[in-house]
Amino acid sequence: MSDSHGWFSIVSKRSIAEAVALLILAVTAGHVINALRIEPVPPPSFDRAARLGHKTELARAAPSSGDFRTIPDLTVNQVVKMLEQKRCLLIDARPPAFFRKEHIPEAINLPLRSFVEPTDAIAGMLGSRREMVLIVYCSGPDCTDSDSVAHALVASNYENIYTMHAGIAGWQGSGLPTVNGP
Amino acid sequence: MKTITNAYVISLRLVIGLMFVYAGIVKTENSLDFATSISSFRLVPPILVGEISIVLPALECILGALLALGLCLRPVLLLMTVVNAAFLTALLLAAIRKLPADCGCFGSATGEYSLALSISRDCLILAGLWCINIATYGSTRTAAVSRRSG
Repeated sequence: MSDSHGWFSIVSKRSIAEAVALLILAVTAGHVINALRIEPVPPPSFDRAARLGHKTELARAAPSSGDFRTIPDLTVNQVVKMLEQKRCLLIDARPPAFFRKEHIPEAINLPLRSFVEPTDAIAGMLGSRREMVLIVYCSGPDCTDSDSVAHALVASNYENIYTMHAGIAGWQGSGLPTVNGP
Repeated sequence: MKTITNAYVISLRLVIGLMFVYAGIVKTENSLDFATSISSFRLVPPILVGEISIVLPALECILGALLALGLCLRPVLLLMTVVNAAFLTALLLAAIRKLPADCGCFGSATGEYSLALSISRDCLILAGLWCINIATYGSTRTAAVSRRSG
């Protein structure tokens, strides 16, 4: 089998066994590196609140686990109505590269990483708009960044915080436009 | 002629190997962003996203280093082909589904977001791996055949 031509020349019992050994080495090395990191990736959990809690700790604004249910969530239609009434500011919680690629019109980018910086920087970004209703979104229902940023804002004494768990996926699913650029 | 072929294969191994090492290091440095990139493809259940974002960069670094050094080539080529084919499939599916997915191949911080560019690069890497495979193990077979017949 190992003597055959093309891709199959690399497939043999021995090479598969060695590949498994390399995978085990990678799993071990990955976890060791992660454990040594200042911002480790959270351990796998089926519990959304646990995943959120870990990420929010990174923002140095960890609320108690019970608080995760206190931030109200809005539907896409509710957000559209509020935008029409100019009552709110949309906050995109995804990393900047995602924001540059595509975001909801008039949204500003405030990724989770921002909260590692002094809160003055965030206040500078929001400016006079801090009194508005702040609606935080990320990629979609599976993404936890919107909750993490929303809780980090609450912990930084911002009020009127909402999330839109449908995220940009739900926004696009409703046939609404997005824009790109900074 | 064989020397020229060897030089090409070594160059190809170095280029692809170092590319993998670089990609692995960048992802390791920005693992939370990489986790977001993985989520954006909507192919992996949320519970596995963190694990993949931890293991994949380490795997890329190990495979890249071994390929560049020419060590354990069979399993390295096998794993690299599987990993690259998985990347390519994910990118193609994202393109078909028109997802706002970020490749994350060299970290989100690079601002790279052209799926077409990422797909082309993955195709080139697969072609490069195929060339290394043929040049390294195809020639072994030819040599073995010629030994048997001679």
